Amino acid sequence: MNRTTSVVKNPSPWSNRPASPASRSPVWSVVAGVLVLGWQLVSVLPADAGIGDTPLPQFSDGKPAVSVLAVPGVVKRDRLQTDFLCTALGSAPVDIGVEIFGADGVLMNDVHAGVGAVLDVVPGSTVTIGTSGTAAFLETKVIPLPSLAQGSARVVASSDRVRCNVMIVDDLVNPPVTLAALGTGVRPAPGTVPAAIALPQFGAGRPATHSVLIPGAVKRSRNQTEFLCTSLATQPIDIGIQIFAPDGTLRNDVATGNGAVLGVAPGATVTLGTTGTAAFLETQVMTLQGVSQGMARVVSNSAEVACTALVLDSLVTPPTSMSGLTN
Amino acid sequence: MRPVPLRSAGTGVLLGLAVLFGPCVRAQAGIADAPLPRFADGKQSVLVRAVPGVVKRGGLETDFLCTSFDSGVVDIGVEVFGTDGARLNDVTTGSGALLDVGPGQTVTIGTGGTAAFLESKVITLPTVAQGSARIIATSSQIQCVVLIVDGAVTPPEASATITTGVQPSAGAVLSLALPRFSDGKPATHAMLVPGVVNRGSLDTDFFCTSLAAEPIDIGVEIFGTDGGVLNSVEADNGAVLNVQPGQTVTLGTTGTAAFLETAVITAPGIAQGLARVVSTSERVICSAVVLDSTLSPPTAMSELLGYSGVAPVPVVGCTGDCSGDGHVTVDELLTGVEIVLGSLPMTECPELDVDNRGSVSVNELVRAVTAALNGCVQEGVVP
Repeated sequence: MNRTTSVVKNPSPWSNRPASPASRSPVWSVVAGVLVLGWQLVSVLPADAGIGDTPLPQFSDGKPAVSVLAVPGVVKRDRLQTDFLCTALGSAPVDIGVEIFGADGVLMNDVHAGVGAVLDVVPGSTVTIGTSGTAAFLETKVIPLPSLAQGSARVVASSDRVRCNVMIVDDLVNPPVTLAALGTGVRPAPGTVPAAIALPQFGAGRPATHSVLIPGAVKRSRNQTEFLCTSLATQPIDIGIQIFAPDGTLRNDVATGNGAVLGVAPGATVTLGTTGTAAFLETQVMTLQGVSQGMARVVSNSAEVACTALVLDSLVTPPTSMSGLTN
Repeated sequence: MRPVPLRSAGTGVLLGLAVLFGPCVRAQAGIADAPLPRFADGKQSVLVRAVPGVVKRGGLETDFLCTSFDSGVVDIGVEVFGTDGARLNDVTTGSGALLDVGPGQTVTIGTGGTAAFLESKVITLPTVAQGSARIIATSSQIQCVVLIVDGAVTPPEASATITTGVQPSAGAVLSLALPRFSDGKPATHAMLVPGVVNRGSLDTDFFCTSLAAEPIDIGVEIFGTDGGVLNSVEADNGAVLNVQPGQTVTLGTTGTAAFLETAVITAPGIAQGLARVVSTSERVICSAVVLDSTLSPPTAMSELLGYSGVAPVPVVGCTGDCSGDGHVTVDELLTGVEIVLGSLPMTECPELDVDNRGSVSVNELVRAVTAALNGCVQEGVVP
């Protein structure tokens, strides 16, 4: 099963329902006041950022977009690029776009201006939108971007009847040296999984409250594991990765900061690795010993985070091999 | 007359029934209906996961990396089934099985020893090109990742995750009608794989394992970038008929060095397009990989995700949508205000408490206002 996101537009949320007694009463003025206050607060709160809460765009033909897919772990670095292969499955033409967000959550292309967008995709057609041209694929559209190391992306369309596969690909040769699928990742749920292993506290004294498991984490020779997590929250959160050896013993201490990134800003993507790799730019490298194949637990103090895990050759870029663990 | 022991009498009756009905009863085969075994310690197994597209061929091996989340010790095993659905190892005798795996422990069971991974157990097998597998355990509290990996070197030349696979759903899925197979049977079920590649030496292989109790037909339709269908399943181009129970078939956009294709689809180069897997039954599970077709192990290989049905995703995560109808109304915003002021309990609208802290923050209220103005961002699961 693949987690995804999409949107139902509510064109007139204020008038779709009969007025309630509350809205006919003087309380209505209170509501209006609260809304005004809300908008004033928006100006002092963190700006919308990232795939979680950046407002959905309109395409250049005026059609509003819905979110089809949110992808943590998008890469554009050296020869590694990300391609989005999307097919229109509806019965009418649809607009399809890809929004790329940098590691800091900042939107890097404007679908409304046509950057990263393909309009009027006829039913059954497949479009490929890439962060660069590649030798392996034939891109319908290339998004001009600076190198972003690891960020995130949102596939948007004028209909939710669009489905995609997302690939990290070596852009220089065909067949590519590296080819790996990116999914929507995993998201932590409230509570402790497994129940027997208590959740840690982060260094700042904030307790981890959510967790999700990723079996098959590898740290052996040049084969290492990277965890690319994107915050979907509206306020800073803490994100940690705990690595367990084959015998189930915990190999790092999130409480001391080994495998933890604190205060991750809304929309930001952080990369934690079992080692430093040539392909990716790690926010933090965990200090670990003796894992071979084990298990990882993503911990956070919010449910609003999505993580992708990749096993890859750490020594060269593009890596000789790379596979997803969370697809 | 000497009395016949009851056990002997029962055996005789069973033998008689077997002689009478044996020829008409289908043999059990494959991941769907082969009886779940007991482990060597006598414990009964349960199914954890079925895996279509297991490979042991040339330099490619399949590794199963499984972690126990049970609070007690568990047994974990992998049963590998050949292309024809025949089971190739006996977990009961310990082949492919690890007993007494402790809580939190991870075991790696492989179809061969690999340079990249450290296998806890290697299953002794002949070549498997390509089959299926069943991960079993004495508890369902097991999670696994399955990887096809070049076994000879580390880092491996190629590795790819085998997904859980997708079963087709009833109906055409696309607006294009489902085809009829050449034996006259209409396709009734379909699933989609976007991003199919047939360009240069990059091609796509589809692994489908029948879970049905009777023979079924399986086909793969390839759609070009412009949506035009490029092969005719009705003309047997991209179709395998009478797939037997438990059998795994491999259909490719070309013949590859790494895999042994049951059928190669004749289609012009499509760059990237769409595939529709069609069948006469929902009882089939398929996965797909893109790979370098010229070499084994391939220099590049990656799984493709499949989709069964494209119904809108159900709303489960709209901040402030107290009624769960996919919209945030003024009334619901007012409820949020009253919760903030303490005049209503949190239970009136837990959908406002995004961070599960038992209260509504200003951020969460603003988020609800945004949802009311712009619509609900949904989070759900594509079947």
